[in-house]
Amino acid sequence: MVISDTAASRPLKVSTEVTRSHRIQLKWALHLALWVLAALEFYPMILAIIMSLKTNTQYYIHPFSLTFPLDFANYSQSFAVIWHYMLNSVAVVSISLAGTLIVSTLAGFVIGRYRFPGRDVLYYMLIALMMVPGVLTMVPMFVLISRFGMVDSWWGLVFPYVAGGEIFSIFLLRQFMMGIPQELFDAAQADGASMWQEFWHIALPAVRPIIGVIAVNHVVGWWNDLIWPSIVISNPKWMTLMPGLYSFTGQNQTNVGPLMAGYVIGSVPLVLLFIFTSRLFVEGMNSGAFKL
Amino acid sequence: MALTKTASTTVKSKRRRSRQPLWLIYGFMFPAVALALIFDYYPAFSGLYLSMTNTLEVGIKAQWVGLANYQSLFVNNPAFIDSIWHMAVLAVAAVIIGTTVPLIVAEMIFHLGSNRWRYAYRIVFLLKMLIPGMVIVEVWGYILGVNGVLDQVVKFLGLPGGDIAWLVDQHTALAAIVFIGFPWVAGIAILIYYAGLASIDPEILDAASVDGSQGIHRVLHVDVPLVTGQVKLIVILSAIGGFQGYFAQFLLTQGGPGWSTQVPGYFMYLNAFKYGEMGLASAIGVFLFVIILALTLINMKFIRSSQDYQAQ
Repeated sequence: MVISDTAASRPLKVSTEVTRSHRIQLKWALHLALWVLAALEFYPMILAIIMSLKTNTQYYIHPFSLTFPLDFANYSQSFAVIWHYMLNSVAVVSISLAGTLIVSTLAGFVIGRYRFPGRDVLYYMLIALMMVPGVLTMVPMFVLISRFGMVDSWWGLVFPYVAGGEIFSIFLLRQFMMGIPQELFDAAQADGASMWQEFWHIALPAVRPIIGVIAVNHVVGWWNDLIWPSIVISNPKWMTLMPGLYSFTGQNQTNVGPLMAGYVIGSVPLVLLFIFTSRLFVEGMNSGAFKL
Repeated sequence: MALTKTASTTVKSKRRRSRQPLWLIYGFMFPAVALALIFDYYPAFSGLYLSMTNTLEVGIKAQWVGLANYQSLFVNNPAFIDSIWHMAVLAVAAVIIGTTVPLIVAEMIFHLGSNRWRYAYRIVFLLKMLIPGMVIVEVWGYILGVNGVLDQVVKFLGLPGGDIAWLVDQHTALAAIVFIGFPWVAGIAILIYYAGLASIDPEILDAASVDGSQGIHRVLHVDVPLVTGQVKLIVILSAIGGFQGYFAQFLLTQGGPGWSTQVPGYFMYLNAFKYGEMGLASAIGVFLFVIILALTLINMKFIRSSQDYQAQ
């Protein structure tokens, strides 16, 4: 390495001036290209915002270009219908998240920190489920929740979400639980801490970062879920946001302004969430690549 | 991974662990295991069972029919075979697009040199992942619709085809579904590739530039061979996504016009929840499971390479 460096340093220096201006040009070209790509990538969102600010008359004359005056009334009109679905989604996502985190931190803790008969069998039994895709279980899951009387109720969403979400969460949590230094637990045991106290005061605070990652990942998935909740829930009273927007779409085929306003409103909460959790989100998406 | 190893040795050395009462340990395990048995294992096996019955709808008594559902799909139903072809076309397109475009964009971001810009662009493209897929696909319906944005662009450029209803025309509908999401700069694949590029030893890149390898040449002969692990991972992930997905069919085409965009996943949905043919639908679910399981097993062979980028 060293030899080739010194040998090559002279010819490189000669052309420094040329390469530098060349490099700056390249950099500007890259920036330009990335901006164009980003604009195209987000064009559907931009288009939705443009269309959400039109009256019906404006839409029929100039459907896709910005028209003035901007009509913000669409937003209040849509919000009046959608806020209810959004609240339902907040509730379903919160309950599912609480359930998933409780169930998976408990299991991840004992699998990662204790030795007991059947530990490995139970662990692999859970982890093997990562290989079962949603398409296999969708129909029989519906049969099951019908038997349990969970159709048209939030439980028909929450139980499948928790049972599906706990698997990957346990996988991650076990690894992080194993990584906690044993000294922390030794000190606690010397003080006579119970297993529950070890879990609550040592293990949970130590794995907090990965809990954030798991939470953000699940919230995005459940918030944006459309097909399963549209199968389970048909009563508008219990409907979550995406199926709500879907039925809203059916009702507003000729009312494009309010329809697009509804889409924009439905996209805002996760963007707000992102502003507060962007770091967690980046990590979460990285680890999400493990899924299947 | 190194983390795991050191941790497990510490655990082993502590015999005291077993002092905790077993019932309490199993109590901690119980909710997770119970939920997995009831809501993961039971549906998976009952799906297998349902696929061999003539179940029509929930609550109606059904009989064991053996492999009759599979027979009516694969032997007596050329339309179903067609839908498998459509699925294959969409999956191949997803793999080609999913592996190349994000790699190109990750290279562009990586070559910027400024760490702040690198981070900013990754965040921007990642942001797309937050927007509900339903909203994006619905808006694409307007872009590809009759006299939609695409038609207007085509007309503006003076090209032929400005009056095509891309999603309604039998000859263009499947291609139009592929086109949804253009320019396909998906967030997660960029992160995976970028992390792969960032973990390349800088000395290798120095050596490459000393040898006069620059620009496209460097990308093809130095970078790409060093991110093969990431490429394989994304091939599998895109393929699995392509086999399972039927979002555009659900929202825009309903498998039509005619049968031209029908895929097994959506056909399963229709059979189960619209046509009242749950047994048949379960058989399609089992069929998709077998394909995806095969891909997942291949994926697990490559999971080591996906852990490499985790270091970033």
